[in-house]
Amino acid sequence: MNSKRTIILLASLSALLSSCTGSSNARLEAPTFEKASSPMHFTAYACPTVENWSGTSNNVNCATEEHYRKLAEAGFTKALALYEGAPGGARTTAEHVRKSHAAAEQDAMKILEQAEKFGIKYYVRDWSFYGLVKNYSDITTKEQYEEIIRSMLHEDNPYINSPSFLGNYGHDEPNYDELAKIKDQVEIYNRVMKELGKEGAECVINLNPSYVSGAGLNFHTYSEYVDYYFENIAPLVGYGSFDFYPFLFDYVDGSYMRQMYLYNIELFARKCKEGGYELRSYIQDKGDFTGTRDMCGIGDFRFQIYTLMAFGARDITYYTYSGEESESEGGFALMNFMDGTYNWTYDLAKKVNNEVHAFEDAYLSYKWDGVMYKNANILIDNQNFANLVDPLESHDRVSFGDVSEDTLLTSFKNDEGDDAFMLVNFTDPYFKKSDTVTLKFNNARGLLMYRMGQKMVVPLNNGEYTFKLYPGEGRFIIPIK
Amino acid sequence: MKNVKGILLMTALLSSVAALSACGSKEEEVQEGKTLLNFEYLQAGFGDAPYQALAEAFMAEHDDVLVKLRPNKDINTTTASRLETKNNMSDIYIVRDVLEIQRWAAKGWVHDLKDDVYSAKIDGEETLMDLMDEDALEYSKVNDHFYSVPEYYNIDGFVYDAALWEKNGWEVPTTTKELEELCLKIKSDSTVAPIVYCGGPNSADGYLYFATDGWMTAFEGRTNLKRFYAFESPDVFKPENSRGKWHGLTNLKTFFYGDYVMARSQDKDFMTAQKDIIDGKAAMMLNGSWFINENKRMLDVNPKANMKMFKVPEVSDSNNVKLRAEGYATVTGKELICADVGASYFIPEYAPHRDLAVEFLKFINRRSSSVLYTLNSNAPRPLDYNIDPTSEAYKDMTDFGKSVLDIVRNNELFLAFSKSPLMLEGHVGLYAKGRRESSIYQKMTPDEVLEDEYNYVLNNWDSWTKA
Repeated sequence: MNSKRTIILLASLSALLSSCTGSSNARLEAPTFEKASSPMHFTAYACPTVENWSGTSNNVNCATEEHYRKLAEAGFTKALALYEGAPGGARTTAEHVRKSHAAAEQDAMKILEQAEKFGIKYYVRDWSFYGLVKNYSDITTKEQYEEIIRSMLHEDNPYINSPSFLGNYGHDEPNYDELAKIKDQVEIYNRVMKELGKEGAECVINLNPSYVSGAGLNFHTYSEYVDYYFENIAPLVGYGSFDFYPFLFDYVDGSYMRQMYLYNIELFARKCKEGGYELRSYIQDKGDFTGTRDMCGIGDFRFQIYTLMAFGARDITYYTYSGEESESEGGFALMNFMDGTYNWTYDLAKKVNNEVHAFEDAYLSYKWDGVMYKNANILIDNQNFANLVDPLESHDRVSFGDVSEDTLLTSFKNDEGDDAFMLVNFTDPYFKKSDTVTLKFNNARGLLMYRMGQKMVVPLNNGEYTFKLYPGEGRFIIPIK
Repeated sequence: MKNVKGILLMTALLSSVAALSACGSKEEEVQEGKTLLNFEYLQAGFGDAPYQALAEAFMAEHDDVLVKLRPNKDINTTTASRLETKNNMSDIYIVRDVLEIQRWAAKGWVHDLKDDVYSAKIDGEETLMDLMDEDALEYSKVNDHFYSVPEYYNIDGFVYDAALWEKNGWEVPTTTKELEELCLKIKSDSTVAPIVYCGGPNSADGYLYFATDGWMTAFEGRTNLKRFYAFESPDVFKPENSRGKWHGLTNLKTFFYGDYVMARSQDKDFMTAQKDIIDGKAAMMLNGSWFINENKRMLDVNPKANMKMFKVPEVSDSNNVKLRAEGYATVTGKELICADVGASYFIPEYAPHRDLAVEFLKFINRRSSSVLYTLNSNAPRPLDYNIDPTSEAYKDMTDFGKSVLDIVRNNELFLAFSKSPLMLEGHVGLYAKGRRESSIYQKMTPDEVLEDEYNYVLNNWDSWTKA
């Protein structure tokens, strides 16, 4: 805390000295920001779960005060159930629904009790509701959906009355044909919740990434899939959410970054901007059987979080917070629910989440506006940049000077029309490349910026400033006139 | 040194800097005095060599063209969105899944090559239809249209180090009986593991299907397989009609899940397993014609290794008699081997330089270009051209490449594909429930697998055919 104050004081002194040496006559006045009505959300997918969650897994009880304190300390504001409420065996659909809901109620209450202590909001995964439109071959009509939803959501349901209850997990990565049914599911959910006085309870729907195609989208194009969602479901839920896991394991180079990452984020950001929806997405925090790689350092977390924030994301889900593996086994999440231990990635996530919370009031007062980039080598196109559909040709407040690595720069505006920018070292952090970037600002004497959670005010030299960005680093920048 | 990348980069540096905008926006793909043709392909086992060679040869004839190579590890998941948005499109692509190309064609994203390429004179008076073999032509045809051109036939088999084998007196087996005797000999002669495979994650399922499909194909013969791939009745999955699969799965169990395989093969990634072969720790590994391109760096530091390939040995009994299914038949009388189309070329309907891409594709399909391709990939194309490894054209080819061409010349190739809606819609394939090699690993017997397959098909056949 003291060191942070010292830095701010030094930055202010530096700005003052600069004004005395002739670059400006007035002291730099950094803007201030009101407390945001809602924080920047970090959601823990597969939050610490109940003992022996499946009846066979023999995991320890992680639904404890200690584990939820650690969740909150790591900057997580929401938790999304994966394991709780696992249904026991059932012979009929009706029995399955009944057992699933009973299990979900029981487990959810244990989690909600802990979540409430630390102000964490919780999405219940009630297996009678999650995947409703595809899990039962004999449940296919709106009337049947409503019957099941009403059997689950009623005044006597204890979890919906918890202060930490935020909503229910509805469907993950649906195919195209399921979207129409999900629309029905969400409409009914919203209506029933409104009747129960729980308007605003969220039904969590998360779409596939653009690297799913063919049968996964029922042979529709990705744009058709996303368009359908934004025309029919986004108005009901108020957000656009998708998951995209960018880092793949490469047998030769060690790591490979998917090329459509920015395309996918840009597509959702544009749709959210047009419709006034909140942008939500996921980050990869571990490798798995699909070819994604394990994290190599804090840069991996920063890279994904700052890249998503560069397009205005306000809710970022970690996939996954907990898992069965420890570091020695590979494919390890932040914590191991089998024995309740934590992997080193927990500490990295904690650091990055909290550095974002440190400037969330500033960040959340702006909205995403556009995207620019610069390739470090003009002869080699970064394919993530090349796949952007609608990049800005130029910006009247800023232009690129030299960059030592491929660099992403996105622009924001607040309600008053003021500008802000997010600058990201857009290289795979696995290769540990720092990026030295010079930007030239117009109509600005200085910059307010947030560097790894620290607020800095710096004067500009002829409008220019040179940044050094560590692997994965993003810098939120607000020009000062 | 054929440093095409270097040539392209220097050319681009000298000619295009002025055309590049300062920041942020799309860079103009304009090269002074030259038309830029973007050629995109999967960055995988073959490396860049065959595509560099084709690009160089084309540019030698077209000094106003700059062919820019765009190797892409992610091509299977990036292409659809780029075709749809018409953004950052290449002029010509190679992708693996021909059904994807056909789906994209249905959306109007792919150029019909029937008139421009298939019916055009490619080599003298001969058209591509004249040059292409019958199966490949049928494979590429969609309702009298052609949206793709097969790049190569995937020839696979057991890769081995001939120098190691010669030193130990090990001989190439031609039957499963001989293969088993060889495995026993290798075990008694040395500390070398007879067989290694890559059963780890993201390693093509150990390439085990090269063996199971090879054994099935050799046993069944062309006529039986054609009948199977017509999928006219669920009976084609009956266990008694699936003896080729049974032999494949039985031999799989013997050779890959028994005493002949290197320890921990099930956990090995493909690079580790390939290193075991090159380092002489294992004697054989299932692999494809890309092997030496993919492992160039490892082979460069192991110059004594002399890699070659032999085809999967024929199914035989304990008396070393080759076994054949009832109704077994081939066209040429030669033994039958699998030859899948590894990947296919296509040209986007809205390619920035579509006409030039057509010219490049016609060039690629000339006989001389096919020789050039094979020299650099060790893979045969499904066209009529010289594949005699003893000919002057291949005098500089590696022993590995020549062994692959020997397999092609000495056997009859069978291209497994189907036009049945059941296969196009993804209901059935060689196995209805997906590859079944792992079922054997998980201790199911071949009989149980075949029974399971048949019951599954029988239970779903009506719904599949009604739909």
